Amino acid sequence: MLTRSEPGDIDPAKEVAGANVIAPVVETKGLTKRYGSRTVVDALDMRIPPGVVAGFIGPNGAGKTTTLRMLLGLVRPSAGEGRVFSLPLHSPASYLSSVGALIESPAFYPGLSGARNLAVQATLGGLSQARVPVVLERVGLADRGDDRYRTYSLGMKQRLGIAGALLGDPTLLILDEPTNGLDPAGIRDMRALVRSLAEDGPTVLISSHLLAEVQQVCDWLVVIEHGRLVFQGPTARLLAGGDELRLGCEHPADLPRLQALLTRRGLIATIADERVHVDLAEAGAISSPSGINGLLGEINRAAMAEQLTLVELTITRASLEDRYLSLTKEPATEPTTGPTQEGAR
Amino acid sequence: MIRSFRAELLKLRRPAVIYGAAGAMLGFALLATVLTFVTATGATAAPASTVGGAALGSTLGQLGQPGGLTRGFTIAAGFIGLLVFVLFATNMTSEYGLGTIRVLLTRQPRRARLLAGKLLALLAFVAVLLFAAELLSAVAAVALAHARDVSTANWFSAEGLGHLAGDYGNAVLTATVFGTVGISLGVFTRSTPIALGIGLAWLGPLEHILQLSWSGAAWWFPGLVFDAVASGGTAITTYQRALVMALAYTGLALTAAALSFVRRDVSV
Repeated sequence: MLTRSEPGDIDPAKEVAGANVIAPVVETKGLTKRYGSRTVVDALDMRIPPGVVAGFIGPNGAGKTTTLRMLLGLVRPSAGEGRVFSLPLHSPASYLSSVGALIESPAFYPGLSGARNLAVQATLGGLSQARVPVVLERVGLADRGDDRYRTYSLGMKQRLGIAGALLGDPTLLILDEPTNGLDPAGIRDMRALVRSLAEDGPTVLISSHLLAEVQQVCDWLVVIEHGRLVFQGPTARLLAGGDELRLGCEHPADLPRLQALLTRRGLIATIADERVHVDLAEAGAISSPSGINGLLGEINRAAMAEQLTLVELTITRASLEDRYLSLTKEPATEPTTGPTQEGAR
Repeated sequence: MIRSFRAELLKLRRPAVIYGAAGAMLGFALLATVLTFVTATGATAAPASTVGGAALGSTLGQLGQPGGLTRGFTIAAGFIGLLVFVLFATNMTSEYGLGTIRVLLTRQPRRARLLAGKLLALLAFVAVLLFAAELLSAVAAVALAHARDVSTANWFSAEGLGHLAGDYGNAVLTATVFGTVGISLGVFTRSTPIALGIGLAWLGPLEHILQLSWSGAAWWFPGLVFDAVASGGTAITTYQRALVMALAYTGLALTAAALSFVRRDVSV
């Protein structure tokens, strides 16, 4: 049995092979949505491999929700095409029975109980009523299922929304901003819930602008800005691109000598904030921890040989926020696309 | 469509909706019956007060005819039509207001089936309430007939029972046309205040005001035509003509609503 990979546990050969063998759960080509003269989603080429927890990130108004609505058949594309489970977007009835979704805020009838609301959904979807108590139990609402929806807290409403999405035991779970409006405890609970849901098997697509949350939960990322793709691929690949080595000298006047030393060794070094900065991704030294250690030792010995006293030798790991901001600051012309990860389990 | 029908009934089967709708419909029917008997005169002349050509007042002689049992219910049916319009329109617009339309369409992406199931469920719900309203009206009529010394012998004849069934059919038909227009306006506007504002203003006062200056209004205006169906025809419009016009309006509204519902994006 395959298991979900850890971020960073990526075999590029396996990824590329997988891209040819396993059909993506979601794939769009040139997907576009225009409202009048305004283009909300602009020729989006998106690909979600099976088995991943995929984060769909971008600033407010980037086109995330519109894209998800197109995947769910709520909004018609203006151009381009897309497939979910290899079935075309223009016939959502052919695949939506395998999709569970929570789009934007949860939407239920306030005068009905949580259980009755789910029963309405189950009836409409031709699903077994026996699923209602199961999913209520799954999201921790078993003891509040008979209470009216209007009496629920925001966190409970979100959980009921997820229960609704789980009713059909979906193969693809789409969650749009599931932590929206939740307090820190609610966010933590939601994160734990999403993680446990992912363990159960479905491919999960989460749209969010809470990057720390996405970094903790997702192993695949699709980043869009102004409706255009700026990155898609494994989370680890995006994060690795931002790792940096910082070096400080006892005397700041020595920094240009240290920079020259590093440049001679083929590293791209820049001086800023009274430090020398080296992009480790460019150094090609992050494929294994020993590679990084080897590089550090080598730099240290070379500096000593040139009588440079290093007072700082620090590796900084980029956060998703750092990488996201660096991506979205660049003009979104050619998207950065990581090779497709083979079915992660 | 059956799934959509059943899901809608499950949604409607809650005390607030049942008591609210039943209270209003039964209340209208009872009130109209009581007023019909209380205000009935012994005169033989035709009553002057009309709505869209339909007589509102009655004589004791008219009440003793085979159709007297459901006279009050027939008058109430036109008003109940407006109530049905509100029920159907708000049912649709609230799906957009609450955002539940997203959920419905992801569970039943075949939109035409969803709309058809919803409409049929609402009609079934209203048909049951109308039956109860007619029953209540009939019971009240019998009680009031004794009080006003109206003979009930004709009411329970074959012709009288025919009136009972026919008036119920007309009430259901009226509810269908008002409801279809209501749900259609709900689909077009997606907004409760706009749908009700347009619908109630037009079907209510505007048509009646325009009728005062244009005699052909009762033949063409939908609200007046629907009222004529409820009354089984009026002095101005025959039942057959009103029925044809009402069905034409209904078909038109339903076709336009279905096209709009199937084709428009859902961005709420």
